[in-house]
Amino acid sequence: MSLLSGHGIDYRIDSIQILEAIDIRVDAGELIGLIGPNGAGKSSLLRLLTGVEACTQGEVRFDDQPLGQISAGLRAQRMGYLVQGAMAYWPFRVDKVIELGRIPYQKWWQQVSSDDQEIVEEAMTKTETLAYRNRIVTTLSGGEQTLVMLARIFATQPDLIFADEPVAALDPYHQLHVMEILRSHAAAKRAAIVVLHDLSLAARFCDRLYLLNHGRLHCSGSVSEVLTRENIAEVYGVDSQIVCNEKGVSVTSLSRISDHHP
Amino acid sequence: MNIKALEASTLYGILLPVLLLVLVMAVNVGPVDIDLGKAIQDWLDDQTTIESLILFDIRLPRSLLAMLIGATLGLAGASLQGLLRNPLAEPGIIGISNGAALGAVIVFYYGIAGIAWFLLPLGGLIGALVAMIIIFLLVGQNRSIITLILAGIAINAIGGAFIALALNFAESPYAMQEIVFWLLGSVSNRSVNELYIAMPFMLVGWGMMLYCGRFLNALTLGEETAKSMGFNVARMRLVLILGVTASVGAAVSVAGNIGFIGLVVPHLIRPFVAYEPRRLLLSSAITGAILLLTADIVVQILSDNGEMKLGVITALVGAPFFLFLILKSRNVLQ
Amino acid sequence: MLMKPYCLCFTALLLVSATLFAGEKPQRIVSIGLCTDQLLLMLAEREQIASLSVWAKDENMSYMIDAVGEIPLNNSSVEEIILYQPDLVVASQFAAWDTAKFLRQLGYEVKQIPTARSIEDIYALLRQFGEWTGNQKRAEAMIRTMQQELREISERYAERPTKTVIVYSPNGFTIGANTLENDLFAHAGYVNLAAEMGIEGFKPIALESLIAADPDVLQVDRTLSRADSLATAYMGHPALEKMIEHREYLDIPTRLRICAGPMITEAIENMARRR
Repeated sequence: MSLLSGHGIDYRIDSIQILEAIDIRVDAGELIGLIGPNGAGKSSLLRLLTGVEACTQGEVRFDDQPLGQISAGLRAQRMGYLVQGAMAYWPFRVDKVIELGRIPYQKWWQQVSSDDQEIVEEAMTKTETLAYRNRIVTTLSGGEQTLVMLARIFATQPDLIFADEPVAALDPYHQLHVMEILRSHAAAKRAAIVVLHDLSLAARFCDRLYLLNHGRLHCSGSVSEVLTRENIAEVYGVDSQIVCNEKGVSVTSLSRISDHHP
Repeated sequence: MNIKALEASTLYGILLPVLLLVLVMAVNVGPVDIDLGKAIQDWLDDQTTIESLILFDIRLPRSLLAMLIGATLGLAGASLQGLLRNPLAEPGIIGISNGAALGAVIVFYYGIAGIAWFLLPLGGLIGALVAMIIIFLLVGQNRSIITLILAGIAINAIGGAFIALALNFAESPYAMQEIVFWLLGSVSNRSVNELYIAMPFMLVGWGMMLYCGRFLNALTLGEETAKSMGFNVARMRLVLILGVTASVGAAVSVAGNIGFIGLVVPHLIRPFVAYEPRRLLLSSAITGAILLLTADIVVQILSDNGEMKLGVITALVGAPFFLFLILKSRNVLQ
Repeated sequence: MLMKPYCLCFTALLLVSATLFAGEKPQRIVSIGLCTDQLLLMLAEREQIASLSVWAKDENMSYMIDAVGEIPLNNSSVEEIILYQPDLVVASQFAAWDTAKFLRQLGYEVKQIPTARSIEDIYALLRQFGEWTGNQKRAEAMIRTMQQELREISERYAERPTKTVIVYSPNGFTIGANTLENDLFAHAGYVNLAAEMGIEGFKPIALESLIAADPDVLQVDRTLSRADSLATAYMGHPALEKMIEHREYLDIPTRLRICAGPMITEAIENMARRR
């Protein structure tokens, strides 16, 4: 039984079809990659899967229960959502930002307990952010901020993590770091689903991929099934070179295809 | 300048005694010198004497009202700044207070207030709510500071004009001069009656705003993230707005539009609560009470028959502060 | 034969003196204020009055309201006044000074009565008004009656003790020394504590000061109280209510004391009787 599954998902805003007939599944232990060109509908799909938006048609099930029937509070505890460009508006201290992750477990009058603080420590250890726990989050670099935001999600102790382009603006070091963290989260019988632009990272870290184009599912499956020269040419409009060896997989774009219509 | 955040116990350990101290000072000031001890003794003995009358029927209601209104304005300012994620948001600046004054003026001068006790603060609530709705329509999705201030300027201008209009056509021959009260605010000669009328709405409003504390904290990470944390953002926003409009509406309906407290207080306190919107709420309420009480003490010292309006003092302090804030965030405005 | 020229001369003399005499008395007098309304209705002949101000019909303020009848009323605007082609316009000194100035510029005769600060001032005022309207005899008679009434009042209530009083009106105003009201209090056997505290004229007084002064009697005009004004909300303050509970308050109708004229003796009688 899948942790999360979506059937026949349709999503329309003001008569514009954003997504059409999407079937998707995330099993425990998997790191799923959502890839596709700009405007393919990846972020929208992610939002539908977290329950933040509702599908126009179709159904999303979490733990074999329709998403709509699970209370928002419970969803908040079982799922963690890292939005694109996540940042803090007020200049909070790092450990205070991470403490926000405990909100789904607090009643409106409750304060942070010592149990909460232990969990926050764990989250910081996992993301290696202990070193700047007392710094102001808005003074950190992009990569450090993303790690802090991830730590916030870990403080919630969710089963499923949704991340929308978490590594887009990061340097290579932090890109690898973030993906490793997501990978190990998934490995511990949990799961994560990530929207990515970097095909090499997707190839290297994800168990399965869903390739979206114009709101439809172009194909899905293992990395080798999805990341073929033909698929990449058809969807992205670039000629590419894919190299697999024991060190890893890398996908390099070579040139643009002249008659491609994005 | 790096101000260190304080633990809750330290913060309230300072604020609460200061509040008490200022309250005692407030009931000690007035045009007549009275023996407070005798006043309290007379009251305990159930004797109506000059001293007990002055202390318990004139000074105490006035000071309590100043306290509650100051708390309301501080709390509302902190709530609005948390919701709009904008440090210049405040009931007066964005036009809610003038809206409330308009609602109250219509109820008071056109014979509606006498029908039932709650109609006056309700008029204030409705006026504030209408102003809030117009603000949201004007601002839309735009989060910038400038848009909010411009919208506020527009609402304030329109509100002020309609208040003058309503007073002009009112039957009472005193109406027009009373515009000063509505636009500047005053607690002089307000009695327990005003306290009773305003308190229920204020208390309910406070409850609603405090309930949203956790939500405001989550909002620090953006609306989408707040949604994913389990909040029905639309509903929480509504609860917060109702809380603000109910309490500010009630406050303005009995004391007129007292400005700038909601702007100054959160700014002063924010560094001490590590910028946490939820912690800012209660501490702003207490600090607002302290500030307004102090302003009322100053008013009474400067004019011993209540000629000077409270809003003059808060404006004298608040307006330069506002200017300083704008200058400080000039880079952001570019 | 000799009769004809004599008759002619005599008739001519009569006519001339008649017109001379008629010319002395203004025939179309317009009043643009409450207090000159009262004076006109009391001192002038009805045919002399062309128009009174709208205040003449105010139930709370106008003493002579029953005498107004069909006399046309004006809103004190220059346009209306000109329509009556007045040969004399009367007003209070402070009330309509710009209207008065305008009318004078247009060539009309405008006379303004000064503010009376004492009963002596009232006598002087009555005399002056009598002169302007050509009713000097009536004025003198009125003065004599007033003096007589005041003597009688003084005697009638001589036995009663003097009492202290303070006035409290809308917006927290009180009446101090050097005012007509103050003189009325003196004549009615009261000591005005506001004057004792050094207040002159019409000034605001803090509610606390009022309570601390602890007067025997508080003068508050309840007829002015309205629910829709903050100014009169002062009069409903619980502290004031409690104060009234414990002492008498004097409710002298405004129409008796707001204008200088013979009605003030009625006001004095009311006050003296309540001592």
